[in-house]
Amino acid sequence: MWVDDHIIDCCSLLNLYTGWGGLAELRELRRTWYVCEAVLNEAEYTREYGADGVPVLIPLDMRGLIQSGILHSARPETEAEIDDYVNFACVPGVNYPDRSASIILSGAIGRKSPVKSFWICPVS
Amino acid sequence: MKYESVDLAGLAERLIAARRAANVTQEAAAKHLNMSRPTFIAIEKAVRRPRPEELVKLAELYKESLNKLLRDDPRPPQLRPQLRSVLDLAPGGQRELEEAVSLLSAYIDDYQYLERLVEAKSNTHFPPQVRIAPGPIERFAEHCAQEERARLNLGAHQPIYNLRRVLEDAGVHVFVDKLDSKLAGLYVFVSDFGHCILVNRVHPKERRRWTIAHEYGHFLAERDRPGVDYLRPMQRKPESERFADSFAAAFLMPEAGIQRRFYEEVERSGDFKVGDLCRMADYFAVSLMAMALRLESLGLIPRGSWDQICESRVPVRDLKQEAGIQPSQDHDSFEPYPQRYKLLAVQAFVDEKITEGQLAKLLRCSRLEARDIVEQCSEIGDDGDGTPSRVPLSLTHSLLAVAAR
Repeated sequence: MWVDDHIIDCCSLLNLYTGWGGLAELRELRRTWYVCEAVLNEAEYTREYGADGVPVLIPLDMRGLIQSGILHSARPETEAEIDDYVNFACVPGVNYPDRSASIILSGAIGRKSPVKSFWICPVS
Repeated sequence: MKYESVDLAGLAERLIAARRAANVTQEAAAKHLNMSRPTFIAIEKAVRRPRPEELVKLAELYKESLNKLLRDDPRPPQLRPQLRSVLDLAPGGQRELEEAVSLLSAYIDDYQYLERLVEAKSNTHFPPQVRIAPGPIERFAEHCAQEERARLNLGAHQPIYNLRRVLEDAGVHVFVDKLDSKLAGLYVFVSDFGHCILVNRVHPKERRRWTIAHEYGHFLAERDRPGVDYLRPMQRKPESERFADSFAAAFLMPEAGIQRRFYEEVERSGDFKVGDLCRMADYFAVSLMAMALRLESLGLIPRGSWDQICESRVPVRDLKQEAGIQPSQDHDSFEPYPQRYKLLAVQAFVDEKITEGQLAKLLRCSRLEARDIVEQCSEIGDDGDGTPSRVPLSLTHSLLAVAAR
């Protein structure tokens, strides 16, 4: 039932993480939050500014977030979900979904559940 | 588009390329899919379409994105058949060479994909091919280099600092990546796209520049023959290698420019010392050895001068330090892909034709670095009230259409 609640894509996850300085607030919202497996490998680190103003790369421990229960990982499981995942990966042109987006969409369709995901464009 | 409509032959070629890049045997892949080897071979021969779950498993095994395997575009360039003769003759290090071929194939594939997405076409007005004339090959290479410098408006005296950008305009796409240290670079001509060169990132900048110029010499003289260059080539160099070497020397160190600078120094100090040699090599952005041998070949310093310097056993680094030369950065020959490639990727992202994840993969960096690159590729504009704002570049925006309205 992983799409019953909220799914976060990689782009949004980075934005939320940097905006909040972590993802602990997600727990306060009393929902179940999912990221697809691809995101676990793509969200490598975030960046913070040290006291001297120099940017510092902070490793983003996605596995730790999963283990702590703040996030749950998801992947297409049923045959229908895998079919949809592959079909989404074939979509060319505008809004061509990448791996994580394809997985999210296929899961949502396969389980006939609404997706409430954050699609926040990166702000520079 | 549905998976069933994806061109089976193109998919099969991408699967083969991905398997080779991942160094996975057909047997291992078949075992991973729990099928017989003949059944797996039928997939690679485009006789059998892999089922969706099989495709997902293969993408995971090859560590390749599903989107890339399913790209809806013409077949990816298969460099391996073209480079087969070179691969077969590889004196060892076959695996390293295979990896280099896979790297170059992936860069070309991505570059062509971006061109199609952004509807931008490479310059295919290639320089005319030269036929190596009978007689001293070094003199002919010198002549060709002078002609090329004139054709590219480089003048007869100046160093070429932005070598890569200059050659990109001539239809040469230079990629830089980490290769086995024995390999200097490899090259292949892709029709309707250009001459593609992969240069070893682990080599010093002077060596990278030399490799680029050397491979450009190959492009001029033997366009249809791909090849590989090693750091220490065979003892007896074939004619084509001698041409490429002499061309690189004359292209990077033009005779007129070298002579002018040499005599300026001799006139000033009445001598030409090792320190002057170091400064001259630095000025033309070539190695000390390349400059010494060039001066020897032009008869400006005695033959054997470089050997004497070597016999002194003083490290080149120390010689340069003594001559007051500071190590410099060279972004031109260090970036993994051409500037145009980067702009096309950013443009595709700004046009919402690729996602941020895909942008990061195409730019071979993390998402954060990809965001930085997008920002760097935006111009600072002025809203009119003095507030600067970022304006994303739009390469496909027609300036003439605006003027016509």
